[in-house]
Amino acid sequence: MADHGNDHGDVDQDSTDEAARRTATSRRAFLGTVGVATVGLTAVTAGQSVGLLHVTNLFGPRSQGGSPQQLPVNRTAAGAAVEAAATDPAWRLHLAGAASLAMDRTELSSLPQTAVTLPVACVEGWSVSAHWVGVRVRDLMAAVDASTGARLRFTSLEPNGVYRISEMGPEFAQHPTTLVALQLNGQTLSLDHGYPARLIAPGRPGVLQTKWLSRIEVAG
Amino acid sequence: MKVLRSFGLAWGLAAALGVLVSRTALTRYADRLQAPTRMPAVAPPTAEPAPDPAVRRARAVVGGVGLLVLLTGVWKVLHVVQPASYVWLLVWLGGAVVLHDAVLAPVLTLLRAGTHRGLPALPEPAVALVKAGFLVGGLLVLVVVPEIWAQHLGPLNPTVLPGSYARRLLVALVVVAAVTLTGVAVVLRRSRASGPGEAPSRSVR
Repeated sequence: MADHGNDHGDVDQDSTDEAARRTATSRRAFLGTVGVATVGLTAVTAGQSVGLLHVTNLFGPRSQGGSPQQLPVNRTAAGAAVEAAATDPAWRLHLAGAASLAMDRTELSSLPQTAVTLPVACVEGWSVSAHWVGVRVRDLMAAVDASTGARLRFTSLEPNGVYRISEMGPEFAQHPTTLVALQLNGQTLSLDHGYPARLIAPGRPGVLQTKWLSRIEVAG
Repeated sequence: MKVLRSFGLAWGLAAALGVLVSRTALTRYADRLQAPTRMPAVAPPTAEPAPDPAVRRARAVVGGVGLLVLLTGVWKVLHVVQPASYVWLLVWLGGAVVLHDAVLAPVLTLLRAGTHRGLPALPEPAVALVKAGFLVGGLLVLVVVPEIWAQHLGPLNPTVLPGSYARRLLVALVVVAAVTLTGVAVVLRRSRASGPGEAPSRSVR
């Protein structure tokens, strides 16, 4: 090649340049491709959190439709080893402020109920809204003379686990949509969703929405 | 704990320094390797003119901010991650490099080599379509393969990874390929109908 002088070299150089130009990506093509890829990937995954896109949820790791009570589960009752304790008729929710009280599900149900729509927003990336009915935490704690500025500690029936205990400041505890939930999407809370009673509060990650509640007390 | 964290920070700094130094050295070495072959072709490449002091100062400021952000990131990571998991952090970070260099880059190089000859024969919009098809398909694979792997390992409960992702991925890839090919066919027909003006003379297989 080198012996043949410059002509051939130049021609080759030109055709290579031409090929490079033809295979180079134009700005319009680049933006169009990125746009299609973004919209497409969103459309086939966002349905795990966005109800409207549920139909096109091909690749989201969670799905609302296939889950019990239209809400995915991270930790099941079996996984948390609470099945026996949670279905025990002797279960009581223990409340401790200045006074203390223990209530079963029937007593909790007879208190004024509040309905809220709040999501379980998991740090894993999914977030699903649900309809909850239960008793306001601030009403329960007022019944045991807890101060309105108190920080509360919620303990689960779980024998162990990182999130067996959660705490919340008064800004959450006094909020009117912070509930001890007894019902989920029109049904009795299922065992995997925290039966007999669970915490649901706005603006907190799912792992802090303590399930299978056993005790609510003023944190020392 | 404290000792491990300081060790981790020192390691991070040393690694960053190592990357910077080795990169400079490698660039110099590559320049020296390339220099003789480049020389006879054209006039010797003129060196980049020395930057203005103002430009140099701006670069220093921007670089300094970048370095600070980097250090904050390293510091935060070392606090968020349990010292006992530092090894796994290294495996995870190193895994990304290995995956990129040992899997992704060779696959892309092969793909480019394979399409290098055929693609320029197509009109430009068709080339763009083929590229878009590969990109969308590739992204889908990147997103879904970890799900298939996790499913294979066994999810924690039935609400985790409930779909038949492998089958859906195959179908989706077929759909992407079909849409791409249809688009290419439409472009080709149009370019033929409008005469040989834009389209190259070589016929397409």
